Amino acid sequence: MLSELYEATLRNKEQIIQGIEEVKTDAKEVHNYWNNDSIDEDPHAIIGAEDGSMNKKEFKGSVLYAVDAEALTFDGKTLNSTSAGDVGIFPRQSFIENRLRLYMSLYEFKVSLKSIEKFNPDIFLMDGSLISELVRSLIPASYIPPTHRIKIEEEYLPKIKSIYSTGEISVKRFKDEVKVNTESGDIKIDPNIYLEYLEYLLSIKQLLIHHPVGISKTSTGAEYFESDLPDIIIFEKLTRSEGYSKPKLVSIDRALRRLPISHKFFDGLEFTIFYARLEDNATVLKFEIPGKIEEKEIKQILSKLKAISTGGYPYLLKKAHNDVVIKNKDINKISRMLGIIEKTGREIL
Amino acid sequence: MSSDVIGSSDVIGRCLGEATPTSVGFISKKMPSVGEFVILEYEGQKVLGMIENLMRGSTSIGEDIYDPTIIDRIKQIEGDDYYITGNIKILGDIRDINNLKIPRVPALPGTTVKKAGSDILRAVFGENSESKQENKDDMTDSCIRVGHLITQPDVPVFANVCKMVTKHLAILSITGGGKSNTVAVIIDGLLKYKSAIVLFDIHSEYSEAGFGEGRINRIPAKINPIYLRFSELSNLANIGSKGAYVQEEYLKKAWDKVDRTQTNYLEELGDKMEAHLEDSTVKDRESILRAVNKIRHMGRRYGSVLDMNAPDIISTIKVGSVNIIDLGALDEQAIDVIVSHTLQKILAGRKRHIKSTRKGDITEGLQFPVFTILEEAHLLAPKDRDTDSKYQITRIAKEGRKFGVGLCLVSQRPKSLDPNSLSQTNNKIILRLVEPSDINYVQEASEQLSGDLKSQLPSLGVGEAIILGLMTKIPVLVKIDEFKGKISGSDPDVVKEWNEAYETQQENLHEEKENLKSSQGGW
Repeated sequence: MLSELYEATLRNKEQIIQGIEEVKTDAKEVHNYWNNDSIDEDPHAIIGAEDGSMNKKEFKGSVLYAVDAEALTFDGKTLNSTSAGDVGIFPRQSFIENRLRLYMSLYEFKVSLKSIEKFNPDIFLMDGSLISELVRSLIPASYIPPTHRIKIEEEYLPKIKSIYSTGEISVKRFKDEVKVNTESGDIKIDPNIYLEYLEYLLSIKQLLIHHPVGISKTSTGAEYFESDLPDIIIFEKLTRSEGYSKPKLVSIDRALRRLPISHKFFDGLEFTIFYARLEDNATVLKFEIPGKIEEKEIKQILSKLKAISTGGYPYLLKKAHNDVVIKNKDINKISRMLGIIEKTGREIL
Repeated sequence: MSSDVIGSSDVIGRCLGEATPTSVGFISKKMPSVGEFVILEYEGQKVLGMIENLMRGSTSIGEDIYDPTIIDRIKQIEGDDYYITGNIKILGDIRDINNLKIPRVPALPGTTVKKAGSDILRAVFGENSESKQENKDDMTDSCIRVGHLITQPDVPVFANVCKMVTKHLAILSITGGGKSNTVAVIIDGLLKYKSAIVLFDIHSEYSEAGFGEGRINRIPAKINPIYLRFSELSNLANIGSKGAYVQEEYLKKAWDKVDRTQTNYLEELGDKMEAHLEDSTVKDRESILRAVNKIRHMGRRYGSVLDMNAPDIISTIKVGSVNIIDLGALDEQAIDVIVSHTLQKILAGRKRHIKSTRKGDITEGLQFPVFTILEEAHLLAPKDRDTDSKYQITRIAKEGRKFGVGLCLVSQRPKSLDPNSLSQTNNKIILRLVEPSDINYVQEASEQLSGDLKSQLPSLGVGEAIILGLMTKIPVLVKIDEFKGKISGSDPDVVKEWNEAYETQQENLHEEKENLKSSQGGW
């Protein structure tokens, strides 16, 4: 079987290599956007960073999951950590991946808020794109009947708001109640996912108020150049020195998404985006910050981040990632600790 | 805070991973030392263990970093963030401190690893309550103090005398590792028990050592040929080896006839054999001539050690003393003669004594057990050739225990030492060894020397040792006490000696000039 793949590789070699798109953008155009100013280190700041992780082990009738998140702050002397996590089991059904991602994000937002409240960082870094957190289809809303959604919004959202805290995932308290009240023979997914989504939106709204900085190592965004290639690739290929791009102000496309709560807040939301390289020849990173940020302020932010970066990447983000990552061996260990001996269905392979 | 909580002063860490009844891994935030003793309590047992190896790592500073400035930055943020993992060798349940039985079950993962207290270790390493009461903190009923724990200097380490003597001992180290001091400490300790020690002092190091209240008995390195057995004599004369049976036959005939109390005994032997040549019918004239020549050559060759006026060497050994046979002035062959003869006489003497005691006869032979110490044991019992001493050493190694003859082999070249003799020494004091071939060789001869302990050998300091064997209850890393007397085996201060010699030379020159001036003035 594999021999056929090797044959196909050789046969299609030319075509595949041609298909890997070259950067055709004019370097001059790139340098119009790129500021080569060196970034001085400014160690006088409290920096925070967070990351989360999730993993699952699928059995024939259920899915064992684990999610966790950690927020770190560093004030130049002391490193503080705030973390939370959960292990549980879902019945095996559709959209498990979405639900886990939602869960993980909920934990990430809550530990971030807790850390911000406690340590009041000057800059708080989040792994990944903040815009994506808002615009991507986190839940299969169309699978949940509008009547159920309205019921959840009217009946349970106020309850969630009233007990909301950074110390727990509030929706868990109403899990069984929501399920009974919205149960329908036709629905193949747990309606709790909708309430979880609402708590997710409440949490990200709280977080965005603190102007966190979203940092992405990869991006498909193409706000700067008219090219089929993402901006991050073009900056990466056509610049070498440390520096940063001129910022751009973007708003979430309201036509694509209309979030179910806090319309006023979300609809008017704008983000300043820019790309930066913190060290010569290091990877270009994409930055997203809620609100309008001036270039002078960007330089100050980058100076503060450079002071805690290794290899051109903020070390706190790297550490948070290393601390929280749930590997397959970890979820297998959890499975063994629980003594779960249900078949995965793959034993026969 | 509970005393079992990590952070308590005596808690080192927790067990983790899969354990066996004899070994368990642990993780720690504190830095213990290799060789440190710990206590683990599980399944109703209180178990003593020793940390055999340690590893320190960092979750942040891994091997995937290729720029040292990154490490600077990580250290700036994380500080000295590290974890320590290690392995503990289980030594036994201290509820029965005399037997220290190995538990039948492995340690439970998560078991607290605590530092063993000095009181427990003092009890384990031989210090009993009587010695404390009597303020004799350097001895117990049948133990001698050899040093203290490297990791806990307040815990003295004692060695059981009976087990040391009857199970034999090897002291191994590179040159300058502290062998001579160790030998001196042991002798000093043994003399407190009125012991009989025979020390073959190959480098004349110990004659002025000032042992145990001056109880030194210096035995001249002389053998009276009349006390040589026939086999010893024929070996010494190189007769009987290489198939020289005819020569041996004529020597035996002469030996039977000659009066061995005569001062010219060896000449008589030659004459008696030569007498056969007067009979013209004798066929073996050439063999007889050779045997005569060999006997006479022997007299010349070993003139330095053969003395017709010397007493029987065994009669000169005193109990309650270190009997030092100074071999410093002799060559290797003469040393071999003295050592093999003395060892043979001691073992035979003890056998005769035991036999007569059993029969209820008047006791004969050597009346007391003897501990023999052989310096440069690799020369006396080499691995790759046979010597007379090697034969006797091997015999004592095998049979000595039953007859109260102990063996202490001292060597700085263990790999050149006869493996049979070395492996018969149950006790070992292994000071610093560096050469891998030496270390591996010692490990082969010692089942107690684990791979982890072995790896400690090159890093031991002067006077630091691993003690293995039954003379201590468990293997232990020890700093050997410093012998308070004087040993002349230490390296000379050559610069000082050169300076002194130069000054003497200058003074002499000055004196000569002055003499010359004054004598010229007289003209």
